[in-house]
Amino acid sequence: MSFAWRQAISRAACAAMFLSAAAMVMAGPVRAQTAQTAASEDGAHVGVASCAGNNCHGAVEPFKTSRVAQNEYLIWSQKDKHHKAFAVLQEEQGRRIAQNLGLPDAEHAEICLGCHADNVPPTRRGPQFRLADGVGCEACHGGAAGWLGSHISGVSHAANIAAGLYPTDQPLARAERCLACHVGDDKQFVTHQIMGAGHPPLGFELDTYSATQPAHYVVDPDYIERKGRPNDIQIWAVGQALDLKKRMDALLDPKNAPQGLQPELALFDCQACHHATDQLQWRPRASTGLPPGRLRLNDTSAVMLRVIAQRSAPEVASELGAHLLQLHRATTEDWSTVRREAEAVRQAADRLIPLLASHQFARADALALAKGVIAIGTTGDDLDYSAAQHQTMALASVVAAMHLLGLADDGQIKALDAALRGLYDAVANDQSYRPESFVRALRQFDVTLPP
Amino acid sequence: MGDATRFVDHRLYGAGHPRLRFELDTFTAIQPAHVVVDKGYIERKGRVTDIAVWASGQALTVARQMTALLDPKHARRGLFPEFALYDCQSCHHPYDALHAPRPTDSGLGPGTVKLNDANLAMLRIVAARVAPEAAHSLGAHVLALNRAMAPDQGGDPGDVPGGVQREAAAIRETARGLVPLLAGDEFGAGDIRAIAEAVIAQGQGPDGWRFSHAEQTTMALEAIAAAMKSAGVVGAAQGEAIRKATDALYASFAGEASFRPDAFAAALRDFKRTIGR
Repeated sequence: MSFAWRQAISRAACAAMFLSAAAMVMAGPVRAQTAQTAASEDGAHVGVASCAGNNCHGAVEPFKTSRVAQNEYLIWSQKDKHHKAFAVLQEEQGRRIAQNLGLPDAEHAEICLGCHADNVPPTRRGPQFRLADGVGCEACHGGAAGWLGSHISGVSHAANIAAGLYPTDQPLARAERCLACHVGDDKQFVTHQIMGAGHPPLGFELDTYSATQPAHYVVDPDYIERKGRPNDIQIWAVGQALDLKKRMDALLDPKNAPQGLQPELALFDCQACHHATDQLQWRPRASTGLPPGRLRLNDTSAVMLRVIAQRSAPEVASELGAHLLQLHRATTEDWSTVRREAEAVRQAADRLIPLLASHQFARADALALAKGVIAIGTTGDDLDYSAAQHQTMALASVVAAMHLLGLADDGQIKALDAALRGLYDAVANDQSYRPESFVRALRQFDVTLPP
Repeated sequence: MGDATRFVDHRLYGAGHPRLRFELDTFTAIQPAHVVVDKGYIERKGRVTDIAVWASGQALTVARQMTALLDPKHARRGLFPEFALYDCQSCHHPYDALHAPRPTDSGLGPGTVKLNDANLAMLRIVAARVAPEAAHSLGAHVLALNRAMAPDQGGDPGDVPGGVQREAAAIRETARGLVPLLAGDEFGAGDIRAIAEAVIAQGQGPDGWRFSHAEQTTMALEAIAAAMKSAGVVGAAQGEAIRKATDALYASFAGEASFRPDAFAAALRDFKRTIGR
């Protein structure tokens, strides 16, 4: 597994090089029946072809006089892996995964289509709808039958939302939509069985992946006037809170309860096991209290959320930290305690979501959160590979926010981008990751932060 | 392998203890042996063939593995079983294209932690030649044990399936019964060749690409090669070719991180050629 760089300046330009081959594969097969990707009020899905006209979203060059660039379809179809989500099911890796799972093929399997296509029921598919379009426009923006007409006529963004357009510009709504596949839910979840059959692990951070998708919008005065100014730190923070809540939902899902001798391993940190036995991974961690030789739950979003909460809701941060410690300990004790502590962690995350979704993260927040994230690594609290990846992506969000909100001058942003490059280099590959190199890069980033 | 009072559990491994790898005949030789099997030795202690040491070592190892599996100290604590009883590389592998998942002979689906059954595979091979009924029984109980350990067997969270206890006890009984039989077997030239061919076939089968199986296959072939030499069924030139082929087998997995199933398969094909028909 490899991991590449995201830069605050010219984010779209570097986006293509960001994601690893593994991470670029879409979130993947799902466990059970068809995923109802749209809410019950979601209208019929008219298909990508309905959006892709030259005068709509399929322009070859950005429209200078329009409120949006109108080349959104082109970016999606040429650079965005969502476009390939269905096609990969028919490729060698998709066929092999299906075979290993005992499926005739992947492209007809409901457990795959929930996230690899816009798999709405046939009754809600318009004449131009094609399942083979993968994760198309309406998989994220909602079925357009109800609002396409008014949307074309140029009504306000608010009117489009009122008519049924999904508000992906809102951090919480975006998190809900993206994490439904990129973490999973009770209908669609990449189990360890599916990963064991060959599906890549899911790595996700909402703000980073929004940028590296790549984004098919430009935050300019038109955008800000219609949708407000996005704040990367808020998107990151809300994403972490919802990520944790969904992970706890998955842990509490009876389908994932341990049966036989093994629990659902997809909820645990990949590199806790997936390393050579002669490359020792265990380090003492105050936030888990786990002895050597134990699997640990994937707690990267919990660790991040505790840092975020220390800034905005210290009492919830303490509560979260205490329950997280108890949750880790419970995995070595008994299942009923796991359930109790997972529920407590879930509730803490749930309480934080509205706070973070409404908080205006300003310069002081940006610097304090950056220091908090840096401390996770430099104090040695969590230097596992997955944690280092998430610390890197968090700091990239901080830099992006400082850039977009004008919280640092161009010289400072340039220096921070160079320091970020060092962090990305240190986490470029899980097999060659060395914590000491990562800590050096963290310290370099720390001294580069403006006062 | 350990016993009731001494056992390297996964906590010790996690703290840095090296992985235990063992095969009785190979490790007796590379210890190195401080005995010379000459006339005086044979007169006083009798002739012990490498293949009998290997075979009875496999039976003893399996019996001890099952004892460890049945030991209440190693029962599941919290969410996890005692991982030291499992195949290390069923978890400890990178998830890249070189380690792409493939079906195994265990009957378990993808994504499950597999029991360390490399010794069981070897024991089944030798039993098939010496005691076919025991081999049949082992095959059935190993499949049932793996099935009993699979994560989709239902039951209340926290329960250790009763099937695990039952099947492990049955395997242990069979393995214990095989120990004296194998230790005392004469293993003629026909037996040695048949077992060599079966070990190679196992290495080329669905489980051959697993590191633990490749390791046991190689050590088995080294013991078999020593037995061939002692039995006088190979000449000097062929013996040298077999020695080189054995070295190549070892070289194909110098370290588990660098283990490449394709390189092992190629070395195994070469070994097969050197022993001829």
